[in-house]
Amino acid sequence: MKKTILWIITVVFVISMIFTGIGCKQEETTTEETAEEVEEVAEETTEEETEVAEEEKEPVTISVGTWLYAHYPDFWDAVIESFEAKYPYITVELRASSAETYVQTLTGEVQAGTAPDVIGIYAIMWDYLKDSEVLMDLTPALTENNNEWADSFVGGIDAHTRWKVDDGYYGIVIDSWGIVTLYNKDIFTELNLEVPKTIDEAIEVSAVLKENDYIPVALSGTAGESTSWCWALISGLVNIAFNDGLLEDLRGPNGAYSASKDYKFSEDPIVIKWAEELFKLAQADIFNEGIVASDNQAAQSLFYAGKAAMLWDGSWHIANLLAAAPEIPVGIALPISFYDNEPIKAQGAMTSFGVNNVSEHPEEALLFAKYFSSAEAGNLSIEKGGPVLLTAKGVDTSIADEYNRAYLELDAPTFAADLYGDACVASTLSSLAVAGLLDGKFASVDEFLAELDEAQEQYYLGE
Amino acid sequence: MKKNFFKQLKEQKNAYLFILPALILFFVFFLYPLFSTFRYSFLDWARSVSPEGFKGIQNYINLFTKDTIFRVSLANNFKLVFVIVLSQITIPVFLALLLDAKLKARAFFRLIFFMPAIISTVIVAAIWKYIFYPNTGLISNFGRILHLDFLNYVWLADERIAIYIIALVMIWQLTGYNMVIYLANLQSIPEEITEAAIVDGANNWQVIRKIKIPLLRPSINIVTTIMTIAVFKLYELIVFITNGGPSHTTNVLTFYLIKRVTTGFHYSYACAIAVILTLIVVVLTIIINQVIFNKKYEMDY
Repeated sequence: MKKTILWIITVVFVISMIFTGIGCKQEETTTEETAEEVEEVAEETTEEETEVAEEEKEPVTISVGTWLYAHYPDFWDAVIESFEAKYPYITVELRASSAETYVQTLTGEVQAGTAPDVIGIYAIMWDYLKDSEVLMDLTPALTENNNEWADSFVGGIDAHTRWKVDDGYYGIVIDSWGIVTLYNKDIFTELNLEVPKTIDEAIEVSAVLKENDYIPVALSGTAGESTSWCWALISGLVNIAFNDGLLEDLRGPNGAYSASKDYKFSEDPIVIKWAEELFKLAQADIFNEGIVASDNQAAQSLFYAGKAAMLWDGSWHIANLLAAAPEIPVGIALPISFYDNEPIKAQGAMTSFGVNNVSEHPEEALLFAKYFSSAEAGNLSIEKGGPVLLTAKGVDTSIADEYNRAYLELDAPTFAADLYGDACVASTLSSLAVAGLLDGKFASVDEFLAELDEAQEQYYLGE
Repeated sequence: MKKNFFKQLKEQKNAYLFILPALILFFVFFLYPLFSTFRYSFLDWARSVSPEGFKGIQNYINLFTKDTIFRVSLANNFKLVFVIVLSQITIPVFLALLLDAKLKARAFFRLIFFMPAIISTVIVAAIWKYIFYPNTGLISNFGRILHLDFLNYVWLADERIAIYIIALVMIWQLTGYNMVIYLANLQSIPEEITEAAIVDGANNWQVIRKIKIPLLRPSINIVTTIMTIAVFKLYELIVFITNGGPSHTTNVLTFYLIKRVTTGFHYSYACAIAVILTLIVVVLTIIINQVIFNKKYEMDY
């Protein structure tokens, strides 16, 4: 009997090996086939463009994948409704999920060949999306009609360098985000304080707030977002990044803070400066206790309970934050500067779209991407509490005050997206170390940098 | 033997045909992924759609020689196995013995104790997270109101304590479920046995110690096995309560495995972790069943 069982297991093993082999081969073939199909689709699209315009359009449903819907559902609903009204033959099927679920879902969909027609590009997935060749080269669409679409972005086609491979642009950057300082206006008025703009000011203001039994800044750490914000502050350095070559300096010879096995945090002057500034804040003890165990809700509840005078949060949370406690007198200000006390002008970008290479409706998918990045959608965004589509020219920022959007004043060069994308990658591997730093775990900057290097080394063991 | 097998196959053709669909599903959804995982663990597959080459045992070498997070995760799993198994062969047994007595409100208490088992793990995590929230959590507020400063503490931020808070939540959630298993076992013990013991002069404590607890051995075996597996499958509580922190001190293998995939797309590395995880569970299950609980339970009444 044992022999029989052994035989059965061997047969099962061999069959599974064969199946696995076939699976791999099929995937390789599929990639090649996909590339050919894409070329065909692109050619067909161009040929058919004029024909379709003359014919009555057949109803089409396109799918859009995003992890950002929950942050401002009103805006998404409005922009989809407006798009569908403009193009009545197109119906948008939204595939919304949380950030973590989005990564898992999209990975599965890409492998199964069922990825949405319009793909929200999540920075940490970029390499994966690029290698899987699921994204369409958008260069022809961006440059047609004398660069019409490309020129509609602040920064032109260069706005999208983050998603550039060789000479092709495989994604478009839609908006600009960052950390904002939310502050309790009553507390600041009561103590006659100004909202801090620099690290030194933050430390001074915090001392007064602590004397009056307030927690100066509430911050969360478990979700990794606080660390993401901290990394994003590096991209705030772009306020001095209009000089030629600085972007290259920031990214270094290996591509990014963390995008290489050979990279060392402890040897990067930019990161060292950033760590020193963060350490200064941690030493001044301006944050809530137990950041490593506080999630967004914990930090926000401190702010809304009137215990914390300021809350560092992502601008993508603002709509929900304001709606959650309308009775709280919330002011919104730009984050503190991280570079020589220069005010921050720009941070990063979150929403980026790509178009599925094997979409059955590439033309309609492109229409959606174009509409989402238009000034029309930008104005809808301001009205409905959505993200700020700073990348689109012609957005009416004059109504910013009415909607309490101080950060609209950001003059965002969109290559901030490049740095922010790197920040996202860096934050995935360093989140616990950064949260530990803010919680006062490290006795020195060197100790913290060593922990970052260790995290970097551990991360790349899997490659 | 071979001949017998095929002869049996022929004779019981219909029976085998009936189990064929289940066998196919077992092959497709269990055996095939299992062997594929094993195979992928030797390949070079990270951040790409399909494997890109052969890596040999490098993933395993990295895991055991360089990966400190893996070692912490493994150690945490064993810590939790120890705490959870120990608690689940004592606390629920005690509760089951209490409820086995003829109490008026037995059904009510059974319901109360069982309640945590039917609550979704995500909700359980949310409840306990709120209880242990720093500054605004239930315990912190309680401490503030009663002027018990030691309660106003950042529990989940303490690297020494966080993993035991996870254990506490698991104990709270699992105790009721295991109590029901023990209670069913206790209620299946014929009354004649305990009555005979009492007639022979045994007191209540002796009845429990000499008769009831030995007869609970099959349930203890089952609970030990289930709890060991449950600890190695632990994921949701970690994600929702600590997200692995502070400083990886609440990382467990399943959580670490999934993190490797979702944040780094390190597929073959994650497969190597999965293989080790599976082997540990198999070995522990064998040890529990063949070594610790090797005695037969049949009794002649």
